[in-house]
Amino acid sequence: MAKSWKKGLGAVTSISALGLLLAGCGAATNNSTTTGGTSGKPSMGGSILLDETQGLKDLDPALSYDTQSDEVVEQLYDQLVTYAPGTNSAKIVGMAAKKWSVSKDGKTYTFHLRSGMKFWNNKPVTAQSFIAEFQRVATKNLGSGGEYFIHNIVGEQQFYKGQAKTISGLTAPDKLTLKIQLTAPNPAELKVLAMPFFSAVEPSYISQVGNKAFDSTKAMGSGAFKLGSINSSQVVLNRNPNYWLKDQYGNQLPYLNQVTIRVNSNAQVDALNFQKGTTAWLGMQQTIPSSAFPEFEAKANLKKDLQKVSQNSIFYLGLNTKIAPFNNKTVRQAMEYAIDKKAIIKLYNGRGIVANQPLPPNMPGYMKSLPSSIQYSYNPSKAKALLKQAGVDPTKITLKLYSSNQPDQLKEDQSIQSNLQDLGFTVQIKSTTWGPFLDVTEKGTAQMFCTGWFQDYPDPGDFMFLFQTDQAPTNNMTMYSNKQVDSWLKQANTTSDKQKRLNLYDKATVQVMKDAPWVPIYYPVTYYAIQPWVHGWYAPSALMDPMARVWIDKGHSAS
Amino acid sequence: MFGYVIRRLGGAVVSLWGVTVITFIIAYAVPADPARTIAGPKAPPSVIHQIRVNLGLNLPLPVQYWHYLVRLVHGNLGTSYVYHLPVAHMIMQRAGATIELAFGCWIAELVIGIPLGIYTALHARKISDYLVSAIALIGISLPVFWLGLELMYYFAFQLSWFPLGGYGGIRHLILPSITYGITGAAIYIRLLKAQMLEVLNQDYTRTARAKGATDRRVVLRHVLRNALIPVVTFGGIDIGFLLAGVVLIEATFNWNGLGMLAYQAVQQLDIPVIMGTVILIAMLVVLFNLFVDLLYGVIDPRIRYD
Repeated sequence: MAKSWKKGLGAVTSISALGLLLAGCGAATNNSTTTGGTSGKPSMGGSILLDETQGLKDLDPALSYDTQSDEVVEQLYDQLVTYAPGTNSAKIVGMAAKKWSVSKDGKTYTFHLRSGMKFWNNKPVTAQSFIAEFQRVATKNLGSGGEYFIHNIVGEQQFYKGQAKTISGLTAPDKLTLKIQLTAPNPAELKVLAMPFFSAVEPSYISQVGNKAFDSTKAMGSGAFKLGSINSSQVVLNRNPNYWLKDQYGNQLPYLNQVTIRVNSNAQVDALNFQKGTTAWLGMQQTIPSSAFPEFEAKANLKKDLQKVSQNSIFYLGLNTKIAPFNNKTVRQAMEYAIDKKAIIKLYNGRGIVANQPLPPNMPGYMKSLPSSIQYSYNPSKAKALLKQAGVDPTKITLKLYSSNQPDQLKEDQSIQSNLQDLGFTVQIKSTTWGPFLDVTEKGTAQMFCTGWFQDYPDPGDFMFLFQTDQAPTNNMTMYSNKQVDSWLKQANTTSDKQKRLNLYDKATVQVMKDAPWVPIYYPVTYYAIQPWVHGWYAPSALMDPMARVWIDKGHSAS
Repeated sequence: MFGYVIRRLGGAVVSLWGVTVITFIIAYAVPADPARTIAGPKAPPSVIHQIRVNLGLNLPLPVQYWHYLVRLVHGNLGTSYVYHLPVAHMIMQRAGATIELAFGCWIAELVIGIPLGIYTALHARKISDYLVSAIALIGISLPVFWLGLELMYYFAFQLSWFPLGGYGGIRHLILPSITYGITGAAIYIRLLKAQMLEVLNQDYTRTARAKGATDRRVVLRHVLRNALIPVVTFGGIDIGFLLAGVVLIEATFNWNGLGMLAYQAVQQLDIPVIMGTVILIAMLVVLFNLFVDLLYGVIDPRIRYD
């Protein structure tokens, strides 16, 4: 599994500022897909303006691996499958693929593509358009972060290593049929294919403009919007009049004529621009800054524009199971009782939910009721008793807490420090930038660390693999190892029986929480602010803003 | 004078070379890996390694520096690690915005600073002097981002007189210029006041008065002209820095100029862009220093270049 996003707990309010990838957001407490005060038939036309705090790094879908880049790439390119519209919808529907079938052994996927789909230069989208992109992703010197996700395609590794000229597991029996053969069944395969890495591309255009230009200034997709212009200050997207998608009224999507994304780094001014009605929403890319958040909560006219969405992600305190005193299970269990999670969430304006297990609440496999043995809650005296039971004298121990110095993180570090000092420990906070933080944690040498995990796609496997022995130390930074858990997770990774899979994850969750390599702290909650005149917007499960489905009331077009 | 200019330009080349060495060493001394920043936090180690190879980051540092220097001598500032665009192109894209902002800020400083400097010098030790000096002190103490936000909140958000940040026409320029003018003028006020007070006590000023020159003539012709030399020196260096990008003003007002480019490049460890902007800043400072030195001769004919 790919190295995924680990970051300091405090970064939840500065996602876009860091330009990090947020591969997906989670379930919503508000399930409506229509926002705003009025509803009714969508109206065509108009344009919207959005602010982002950072510019995009990559226009090439094979390289795009951060939220700002994905926000644009997803509007320009089509994948085989995608998620059904709706906040937190994890249901897969066809995109370029009209239908598909999976062989009984779960190892062969056959996709039948829509006919008539075209790139903006009128060339047809065919099975070869996808094969071309899989091959680009698997081309070693391109350096695509998506390469990991297709290790399971037959022949991919030979192609990657330069031992084969094509990927043998990808074939096109005819122009509109794509066959993908896997080395082993993967229950999350369709979710992998919904990632923008695996978009339809036009290879002749890429060879004409070159990879560098294709990644920075030129695009040729089949998506809902065409690239209008791009520079370091803004990106303009124009409606693709030949897009294949229609709404239930027969309107050809997208509704909007133009979307302009400005790079405006001052989030406070971006919030003012929203309040003035200049921009259409403050969402994943334009997170409401902490300083402006109380105002949004306090003013009725702003509060009604808010949508609260809990994210498919978790922030946790990692305890290195190979380093004393955390090589002792009882000491780790003591930590589960030692941390005041509610106090930490308060530090983030309440933008979080107390976490009690690795899987977030909206992820299949999340256990609504945990066995009493692992129902940990803040209880310092119990923590002290467990330390005593373990024969550990905290007054003689200095702990090193590693974290990355992102906004608000220090407040949280200090909160944890204070909790542990209450038990008698001395705690040194080792706060560094992201790179040096990973340099220590990924070697498995950090005694204790604060970090987070954001999904690549909404599947429990994308979280639970962090506890596999073979993921240590890069992803499994606590060096946790339990053969029984490994065996359950291995089975879950390949079984297509949904219930059986969930049962396996339940077992693993219980065992992991008993072994306590993590103190789960909170699941972040994002507040989106959407203008009342914007309709059709929703917070997608794993992708970025659904611009093709957004329409606006007349008279609100950005000038 | 021609020889002087040539000598100074020769010195400038050596200074710039020194700047490239120091910047290069500092950029690489940062304990972070540009390849990791480029690949994104989710990239697997194989991808990070590949990026390192693609960018030549796996080569020894002196070799990397040599390659950079060879490209630089050929007028090539390199390609941005993050955006894959030529650095020169990125700088040019932003230069217009920054030139506009720099001159706007500079003019605001001078328009506020020079008259108040003259005023306080002529009213030295009177209540009005203390009052203006106190206000100037407050001005210099105000954080730019705070003052900018306040001005934007009242004049752009509440009153809608000006746009809410962003780069555009003259209306966009007014608030950032005033913000910088208020915080930057104090230096000009104090500099000019001190200098004028000194000149006011010079023999030639007394002689001018004795010869019956009017106050106005004494101040403008004799005092101000002589008192301006340090102001011009500072002004020259100031505009050099301003042209290199006023990071805080740009960040506050969402003004995408060179300052923001450099700031973001530092955050992303985009070394070619850091190098490009630093070299540009150094060049501007050196050139404006030279320009100022040459200007001395115009202001004070006693100064000669040998």
